[in-house]
Amino acid sequence: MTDYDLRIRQALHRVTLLEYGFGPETLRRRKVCPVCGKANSADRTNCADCGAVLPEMTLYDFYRSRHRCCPGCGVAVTNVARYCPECGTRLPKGAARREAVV
Amino acid sequence: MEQAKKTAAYRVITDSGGGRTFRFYCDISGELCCVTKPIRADTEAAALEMAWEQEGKRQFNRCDRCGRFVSSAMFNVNAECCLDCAPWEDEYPSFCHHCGARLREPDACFCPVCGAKLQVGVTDGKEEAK
Repeated sequence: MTDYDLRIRQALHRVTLLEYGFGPETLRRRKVCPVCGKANSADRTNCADCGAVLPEMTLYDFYRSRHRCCPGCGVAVTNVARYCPECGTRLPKGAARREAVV
Repeated sequence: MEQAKKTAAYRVITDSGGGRTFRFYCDISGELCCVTKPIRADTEAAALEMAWEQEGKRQFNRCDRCGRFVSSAMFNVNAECCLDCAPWEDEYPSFCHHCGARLREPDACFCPVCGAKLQVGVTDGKEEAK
């Protein structure tokens, strides 16, 4: 696979993720209302449905808070990773993941 | 796998006519994913089953590993698991997660230095290095 093929494949993958509403970009654009559960745009301060004050934290922040993250570049990494697959930073030994809040 | 769940987390609202409306939420983020139309049944359990089968189930993704029902935002389609079980990883990592070696073949399946598997969704839970 050439670099060009790789870039095309990554771009198509990203478009698919965005179109169907999943992936890190979707998480960055959403906040969940703690009162009614509606997904709101990340730039809103109040829920479009019930008017409750929305948290600062986007779904991406919430997702990251539940995982080990690389101290170098910030991406979430699996529990078994010793090095960051993105930037190659040596990872400290990870803490256990948190339990679901619901 | 944890104890099998039959539905996502939900709340039920009963109207004056006896109809029950179910609100189903993502098991991880608490996001509201489905509000059903009012359903009439003899018991709440029967109404829940109807609501889930007819409307709720389609709006969720079931994690193959833990069995929870999650929104599309909290689902990793590459690994067919929720984001708690399989966090997003770059499909083409630049470094081996096991030994830290820089990877020269972007679509390699195994690290050329230590032999660890590199593909998304298979690096969680156990070490694969040979």
